[in-house]
Amino acid sequence: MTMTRPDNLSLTMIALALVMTGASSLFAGSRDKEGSRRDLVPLWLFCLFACLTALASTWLSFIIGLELSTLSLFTIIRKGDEATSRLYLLAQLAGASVLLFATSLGSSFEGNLPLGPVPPGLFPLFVIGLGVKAALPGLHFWLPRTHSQAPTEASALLSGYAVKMGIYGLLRLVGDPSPPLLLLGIVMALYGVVQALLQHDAKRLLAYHTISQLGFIVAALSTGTPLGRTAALFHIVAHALFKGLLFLSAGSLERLYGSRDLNGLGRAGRDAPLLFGLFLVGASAIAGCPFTSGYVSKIVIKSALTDQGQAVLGLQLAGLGTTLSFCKFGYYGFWKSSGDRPEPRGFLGRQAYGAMALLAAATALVGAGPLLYPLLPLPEGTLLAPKALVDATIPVIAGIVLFALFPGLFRPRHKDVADVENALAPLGRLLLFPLTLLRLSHTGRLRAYIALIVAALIAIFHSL
Amino acid sequence: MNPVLAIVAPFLAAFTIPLFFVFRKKWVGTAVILFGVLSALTALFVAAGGEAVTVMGGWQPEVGIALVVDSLTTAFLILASLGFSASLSAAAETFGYGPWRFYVLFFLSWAATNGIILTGDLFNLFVFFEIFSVAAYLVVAYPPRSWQAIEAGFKYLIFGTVGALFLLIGIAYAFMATGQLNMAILARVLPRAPEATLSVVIGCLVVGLFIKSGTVPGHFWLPDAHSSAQTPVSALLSGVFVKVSLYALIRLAFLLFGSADDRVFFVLLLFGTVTLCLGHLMAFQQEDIKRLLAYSTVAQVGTIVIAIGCASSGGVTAAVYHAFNHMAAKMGLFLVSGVLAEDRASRDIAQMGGLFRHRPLFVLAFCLFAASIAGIPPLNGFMSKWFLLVAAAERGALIPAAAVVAGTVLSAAYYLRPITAFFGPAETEPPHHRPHPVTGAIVALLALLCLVLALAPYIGPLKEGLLAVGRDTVNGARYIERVLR
Repeated sequence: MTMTRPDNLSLTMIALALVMTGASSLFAGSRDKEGSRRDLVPLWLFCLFACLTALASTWLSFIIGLELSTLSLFTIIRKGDEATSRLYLLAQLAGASVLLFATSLGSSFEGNLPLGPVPPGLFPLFVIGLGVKAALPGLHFWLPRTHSQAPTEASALLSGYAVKMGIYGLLRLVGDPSPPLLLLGIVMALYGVVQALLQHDAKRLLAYHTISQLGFIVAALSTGTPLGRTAALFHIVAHALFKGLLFLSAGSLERLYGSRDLNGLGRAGRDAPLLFGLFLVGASAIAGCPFTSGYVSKIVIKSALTDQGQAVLGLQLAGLGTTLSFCKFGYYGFWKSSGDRPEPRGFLGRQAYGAMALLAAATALVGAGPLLYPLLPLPEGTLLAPKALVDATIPVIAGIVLFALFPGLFRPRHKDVADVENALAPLGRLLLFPLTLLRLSHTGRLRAYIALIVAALIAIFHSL
Repeated sequence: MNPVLAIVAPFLAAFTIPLFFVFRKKWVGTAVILFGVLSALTALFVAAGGEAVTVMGGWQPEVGIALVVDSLTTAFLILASLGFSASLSAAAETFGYGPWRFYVLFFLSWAATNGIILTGDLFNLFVFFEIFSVAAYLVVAYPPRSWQAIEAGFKYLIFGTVGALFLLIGIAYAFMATGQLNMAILARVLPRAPEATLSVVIGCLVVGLFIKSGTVPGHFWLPDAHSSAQTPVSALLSGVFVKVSLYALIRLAFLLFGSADDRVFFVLLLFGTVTLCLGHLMAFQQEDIKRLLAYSTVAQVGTIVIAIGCASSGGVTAAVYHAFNHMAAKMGLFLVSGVLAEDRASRDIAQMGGLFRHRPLFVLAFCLFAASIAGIPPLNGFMSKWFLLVAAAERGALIPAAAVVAGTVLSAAYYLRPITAFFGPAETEPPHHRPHPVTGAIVALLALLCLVLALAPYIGPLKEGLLAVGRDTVNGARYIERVLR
C-alpha cells in the first residue's frame, strides 16, 4: 500500500474512525463479560484498515483498505445474522470489484491511478463502485437489512463510518460540479425519509435515515466547490456522531426490552430517563434544531447550494420528514406509555451509557465549536443570523405540529415496506434458471462433448 | 548443470523403484523420498543455473533435440518442483510406501513434465505430453478400487487422446509444411507457410492444448478427474498438471502463433472468458466440495488463458504469477478439503458442519486459500488479478477484464458456502480423526508460500524476475537467436 502525507481530510477521517470505534467497543464490551475481549479484535481491526484507507494515496491501496475493512466488519455482522452478513460481504465485494475494474482501466504497469479526480470516461464507473458503499439510490439494497440485523455496535460503525468511506472516495473523486450527483443526493435524501416514515423497526428506521443524511452529503460534495467539500466533511463528522448515538440508543432499547419494534415499546422514557435524554440529543441534532451539530452542517450545506433553489427546497422537505420521523421514534419508542407494555428484561451497564455519553458529548462539541470559533469558511455571523435560525426552526416546528395534529398517520405499521432488497430473491431465481440449463448440459455423454470440441475447432479455423 | 539431468533424475526414479520392490522391499520408502529430493533439487539447480541451450548428442539444432532454459522455463521448473514435492509428501502420508506402482507413475509424470518444460523441439514436446498423459490417466484412477475413479480416468483417457490427436495433426502439418520440428527454426519458417495451412496448424495445436489444460470446450474431463482422484493426486492435477499445458500454450503462442497471426490471441481471449464464466457458474452449483474446487480450477485456467491472450509482456507476467498463486492456493485447498472430507466421510458441503472446532487450523488455512483464490486483497490472488486487469486494460480487452472482476464476487459467494458450513453447528461429531502431521506441515508451507507470493510485487528481485519472464517470453526473436547461435 502506498501512503501519503495526510491532509486535513485524512486526519479528520482517522480521528472519526478512532472515536467511532472507541464508542462502539465500549458499547460492545458492556454486553457480556466472557469472550468480549476477543469480540473487540475485529472492531479495532476495522479501525486500523479504515485509517489505512484514509491514508491511501492511490485508488488501488484505497480499494485494498476498503475490502479489508469490509472483511473485518463482516466477521462482526456474522454474529448478528449469517445470511445478512453474506449479503453485505457480496454487495461490498461487487462494489469494490467495479472500483477495481475502473482503476485498472486508468492504471498501467508504470504507475497506479493516484487517488483523486479520474479521467471523465471512468467517472461513472467510479461513482457506481463507490455508490455501493455510499448507498446511492438503487445501490442501497444491502443497507437497511444490514444495519438492522447487525449487532448494534456494528450498526453504529456501519452507519457512522463504513458508509462514510464511500463518501470519502466520492470526496476525493469529485473535482468539478456534477449535476447528476446533485440529483442523486436529493433523491436519496427524500427517498430515505419517505421509507423511514413507513418503518416500524427502530434500527431499520435509522438505517433509512442514514441514506437520507448521506443524500445531504452527496448533494453538498457534488458542487465541487471548497465550501461544498467542507460542508460534506462537516456533515460526515456530525452525522457519524449523532447517528452512532441514535443506533446505540436503539440498541439499548433492544437490550432493555428485547425488541426493536416500535409497536411494542413505549415506556423507556420512564424506565430509563437518561437513555431518553441521550436519544433526544441525537434526535435534535439529526432534525437540525438550532445550536446542534445538525443545525450547523445544514446551514453550511445550504450556503454551498445557494444557487440551487430547488435542491435546497428538497433538502428542507427531507428535514421536515426527518423531524416527523424522530417525533414518531421518540413518542412510540420512549413515551407512549400504557400499562400493557412489557417490563424491561435487560440491564444497561455503565459502559453502555459511557459509550452514548461519549458520542453525545462529541455531538454537542461539534455543534458548539463552530458557534464559538470561526472554524468554517462562512461569513461572520451566518450561524447566528435570525434568518438562519428561522429557516432551521420552520421544519422542526412544522414537523412537531404535523405530528401532533395527525398522530394516526404516523403510527408504526405492522407490515414491512417493499424496497429494492425484496427484488433480490426473485432476481436471483431468474438468474439461476440459465445456470440450471448450464448444469443440465453437462450430461456426461462423451459423443456430445467431442462434437462440441470439433465445433470449437471449426470455429477457430474459421476465425484464424 | 546440464538440463537433461532434470528429466533423467525422475526417470531414474521411475525405473529403479520396481527394482527396489523386487530386490530390497524395505528400501522402497527411503528410495522414494531420496529420489523425490533428488528430482526436486536437480530441477531447481537447472533452474538456478540460468539460461542455457543444450542440443542432445552434439547435433545441430535442426536435427538434434534442443533443451532450452530461459526465464519462462525457470519459472515453471520451480512451480513443478514445488508442486510435485508437496504432492509426493502428502501421497507418502496418505498411501504409505506399499503401492510402489503409484510412485512409478508419479515419477514418470514428473520426468515428462520437466521434459515438456525444457524441450525446444515440437515433436519431443508431443512425446513428453504422451508420457505425461498416460501417467496422469493412471494416477487419476489410482487406487483402482472405486468405479468413479476408474470412470474419471477413462474419461480423461478419451479426452486426452483426442487432445493428443489434435496436437499430433498440428505438429504433422507443421512438419509437412516446413520440414522442421525445432521450435526456434519453426518460428522463423512457419510464417512463410500458406495461410490455410497456418490456420490449420495453429487451430489444431490450440484445441489440443485447450483439451489438455481443461479450457472450454475441453474441460469435461477435469471436474471428474479432480474430484474422483485421491487427495494428493487432485492437488497435483490442479496445481501442476493443468499448468504444464498452459506453459506449452504460452510458449507456442508467442513463438509460433504470435509471429504468424495476431488473431490467435483474440481466440485465446474469447475462450478464456468463456472458460472463466463457465467455471465460476458451475462451481456455484456444486454440492460436492472437491467438484466445487475442480470447477474453480476451470475458472482459474480461463483466467490464465485470458492473461496469455493479452499478448503482452504484462499479460505473460500475470499468467505466470497467477499460475504460481493458483498452484499454492489450490493445492492447499485440495489437501485441506481432503482431510476434512475424510473426517466427515463425505464430500457433501452440507455435511461439513462443526469442522472448525474439530480442526481449527486446517479450516483457517482453508479460509486463507479461498480468500486468495477469490482475489481478496492483499493476498496473492488479488495481486495477480491486478496484474492481469492492468494487462487486459492495456490491450483494450474490457469484457474479459469485467468477467475477471465479476468472477471475484461469484467465487467469494461459492467459497463462502463451505466456510459457512465449517463454522456452523454440527449435527453429529465427525466420526474420524486421523492425525495428518505431514499434510498439516505442507498446508502450512503452502500458506506461507501464499503470503510470500502476496509480497512478491514488493520484493525487488522477485518482481524483477516476474517482469523478466514476461519480457523474455514475448520476445520470440531472442529465443530464436539463442537456440540457433
